[in-house]
Amino acid sequence: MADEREATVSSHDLTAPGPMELGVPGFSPTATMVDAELAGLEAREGLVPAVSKRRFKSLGWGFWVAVAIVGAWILVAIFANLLPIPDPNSVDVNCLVSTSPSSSHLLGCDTTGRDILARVLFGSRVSLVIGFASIAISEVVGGVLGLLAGYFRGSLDEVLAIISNSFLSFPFLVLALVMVAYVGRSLFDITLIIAILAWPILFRVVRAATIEHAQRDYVLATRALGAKSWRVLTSLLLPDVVPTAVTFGLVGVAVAVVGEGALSFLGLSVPAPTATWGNMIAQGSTSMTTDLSLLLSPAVAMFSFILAINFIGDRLRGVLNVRHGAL
Amino acid sequence: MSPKRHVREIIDREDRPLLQVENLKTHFDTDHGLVRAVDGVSFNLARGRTLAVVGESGSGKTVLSRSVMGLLPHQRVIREGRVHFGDVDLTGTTERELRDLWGAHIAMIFQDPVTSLNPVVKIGRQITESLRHHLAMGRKDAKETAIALLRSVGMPEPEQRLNWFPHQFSGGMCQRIVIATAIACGPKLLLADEPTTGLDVTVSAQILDLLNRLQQERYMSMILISHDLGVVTGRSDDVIVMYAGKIVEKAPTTTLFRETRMPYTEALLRSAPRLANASHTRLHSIPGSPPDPSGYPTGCRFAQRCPYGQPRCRVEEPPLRQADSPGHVFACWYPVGTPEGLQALETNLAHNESAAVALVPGEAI
Amino acid sequence: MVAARRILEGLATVLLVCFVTFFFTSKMPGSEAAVICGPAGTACVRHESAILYLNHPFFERFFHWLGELLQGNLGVTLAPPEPIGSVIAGAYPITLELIIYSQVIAVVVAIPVAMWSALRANGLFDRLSTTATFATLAIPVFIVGPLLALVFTVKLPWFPGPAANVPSLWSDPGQNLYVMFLPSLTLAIGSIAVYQRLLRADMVATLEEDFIVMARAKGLSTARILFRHALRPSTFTTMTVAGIQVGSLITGAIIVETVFALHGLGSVLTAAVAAKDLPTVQAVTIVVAVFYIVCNVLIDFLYTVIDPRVRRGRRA
Repeated sequence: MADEREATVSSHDLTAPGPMELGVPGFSPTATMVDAELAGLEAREGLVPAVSKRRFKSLGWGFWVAVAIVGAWILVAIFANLLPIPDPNSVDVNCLVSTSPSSSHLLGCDTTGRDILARVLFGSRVSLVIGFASIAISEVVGGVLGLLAGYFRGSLDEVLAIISNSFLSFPFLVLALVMVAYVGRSLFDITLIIAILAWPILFRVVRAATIEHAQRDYVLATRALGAKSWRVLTSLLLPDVVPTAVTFGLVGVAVAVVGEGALSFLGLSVPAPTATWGNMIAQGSTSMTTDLSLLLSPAVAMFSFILAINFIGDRLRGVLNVRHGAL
Repeated sequence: MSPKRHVREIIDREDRPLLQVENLKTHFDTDHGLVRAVDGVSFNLARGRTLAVVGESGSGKTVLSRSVMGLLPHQRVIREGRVHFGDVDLTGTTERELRDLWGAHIAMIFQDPVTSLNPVVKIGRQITESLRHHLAMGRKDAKETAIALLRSVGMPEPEQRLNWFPHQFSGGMCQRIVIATAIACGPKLLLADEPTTGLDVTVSAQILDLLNRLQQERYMSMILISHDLGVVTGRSDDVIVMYAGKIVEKAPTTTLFRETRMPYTEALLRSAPRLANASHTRLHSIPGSPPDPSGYPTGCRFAQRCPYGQPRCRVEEPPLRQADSPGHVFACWYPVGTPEGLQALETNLAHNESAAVALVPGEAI
Repeated sequence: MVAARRILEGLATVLLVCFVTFFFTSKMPGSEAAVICGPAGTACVRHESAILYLNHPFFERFFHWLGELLQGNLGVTLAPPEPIGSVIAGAYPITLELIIYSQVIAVVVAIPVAMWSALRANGLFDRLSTTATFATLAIPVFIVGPLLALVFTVKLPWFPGPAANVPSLWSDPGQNLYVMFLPSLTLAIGSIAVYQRLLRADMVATLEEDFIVMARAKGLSTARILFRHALRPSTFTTMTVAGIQVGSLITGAIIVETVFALHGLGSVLTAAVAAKDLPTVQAVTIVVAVFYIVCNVLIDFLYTVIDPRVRRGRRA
């Protein structure tokens, strides 16, 4: 968005008349403020060239940088054990002398003498596995329920809406903590807990998209021709709602990673000694007066991943014209 | 009502008009291109007189009124020309200085009364606001003045109504409130931008009569903007007919109706909605729609739709020229009611189409 | 009428939360009695179970427990046994203050920033603030907190570090607000970003309304137009979202309490979860639910104050 806006003409250029830089894409305050009807603009709306093509081009280099960052983290998470780094849980006696960065420990060591770089890279595994797996479960559960509720409406829809609303409205972390107390804190438990908390988001998004698409002419026409419900759902509506589900799913991954991070930070996610970004940040925040690297390294790692994945989601949402109103 | 602050005195000499507009242009730099909403408009308005500005939607009437006042967006606007209000040059004044005039000496009434009142502010405060601001009135004085104002615009039980919110009133009542707000500080110039659009016919007539009465009582100058020539009859001294950002005919009201010269005015007169018609209906008897304000054709801007149109109209732009009666000007090569005009019309009828249109075959109207 | 219905709905939700937490607690394998007794043996379990009313049918236990709850008896924490009610009473003021203080900071910062952004939409300041809030939204509280603590307590020692002693708000308000500022700011960061974005968007729309043009035509100053005419109609979305935000504020407060070692409800809950102290988890959950619902009823009420169109029965 920002690079587009920079291209718009600044007010200083307007004091003099003459050829203006016309057809600049982006938001124009004047067009909306001047009564568009009186300026005779409404008749021109049909003449605006197809926006979507331009928008796809305007994904910009920032989008691809974000994709590269997310891709890199996925590769790191998969191949962490092949990388030339020490074992994340092994204690290096040299580190007990000095924890500061050295050639053998690029980011230094933590207070117990473990390599920070290795722990950050291995820590991505917990975050990414929980992030992607929990959202995958939510996509399936929330997506299917959303499609059904949005298509059939009725009491099924109402009951699911009440359930999802109450899930969404209650403090996320309180529910997560309560479930940790009752269920447990293995990698599988945490994935499941976050999936249970995240499905209502995707349910609502998919439901809203389904309702919108189900009212379109081609869907109504297909139904009028006597197509079976499951056919309409799978061959017409499913492809329509997938872009929405995927873009919001990406944002969901960021939410899940933050959620897991919060639990780890409180020491209530996957138990030690497994490295997670959250528990490293917690550890780092207690020793920040002596060792900044332990706090900053996992923080930067997590921030880069969340920012990149949010950015991708945001851009895709703009390009695919997925409305915010869906929530 | 002692003017303590903010009200700047306007020296308004009898020997010259209150409002002088010279070659006013207002262009908007939009994403669709440069929109030339007002494209060189000049007129004078004397104290106590009413000027009507008439034209179709999109002719630039609203922008003209806002541009006269200087009430334009801050960004991407080009405004040229001169506007003199009394001894003040409105075009060479900063917005900060203009604010001392706005509301105090120049006031405006908007198209939609319901949306021009703040939905979350009691109407009493919306009226007293400018009194307290411009005239530095105390709370009590302002309240009493507001009650008097509401009474003068025909609001029943004004004392209680002060504490009501806009949504509790009908459209007609809202417009009365807007009018009360506008005239609160005793402005010299009132700009009424289609003040009766969206009101039903009887209410519309009441509001227009109210405006006329107030204008005479308070010796205000008024610019009355309308798309309906019928509204203007008997309620204005002079009429300006606008088309595509320009004045195409200007005359004293009676002259305009008697000695119409511009084919566009004639078409407007023919299509003037009778009182019974719903407001804002498209004027069906004029084929086509106004040209794209971001790219006007060369020549006369009305040529495409003109029943009198000739090849010359598509090439040369007619200047405003003097008609027989004093104060009557128009812009047309083949004016209505003249031999040239008659001939042009006959030629077109013989070809069963406008010659100007025939110049560009295949172009849809 | 509307308010009464909201309150009834709220009560129903609280009751539901009570039931669900009670249901799960009672179904857990490690029963309370077993946790208390540890390896002490079955005799102890039997004794404790009698005290805890554990041998009765499910609904009887539920209503007994609910009755106790209504009398303010939230039960007893597991080791060391303390009345949960007094533990919560000691902890909730910190959490409540944290949330209110953070919202005050958020509103004070977000309103001017949003106004300035909206006034010069797409200008330099607008683009900077929009980019900043986008980035801010991506930083979780548990990263913001330690970073702020690092900068403002270690690098620039302007504020006391974590684990500082917090005096009571009533006995020493100055010191209390000073110590609580950094934690509250931490919690406020997310709210600032959310409110700025919503307010800016609504404000841009409001500034295009006719009544704003009319206010300009009255010759009012920009500041007056912004605060008197544009602000209130621009807050509807923000208000609605503020209601939804209460949930994430509570989430944030739990983390902020851990970062700054404050003894609030969040740290009580965290400790209880770590110790598998189910009665305490249950009690805190119910308190949070009540708080959450009270907040939402309050916001609904505030909504009617701000938007007169929502009020009913005024017109004769």
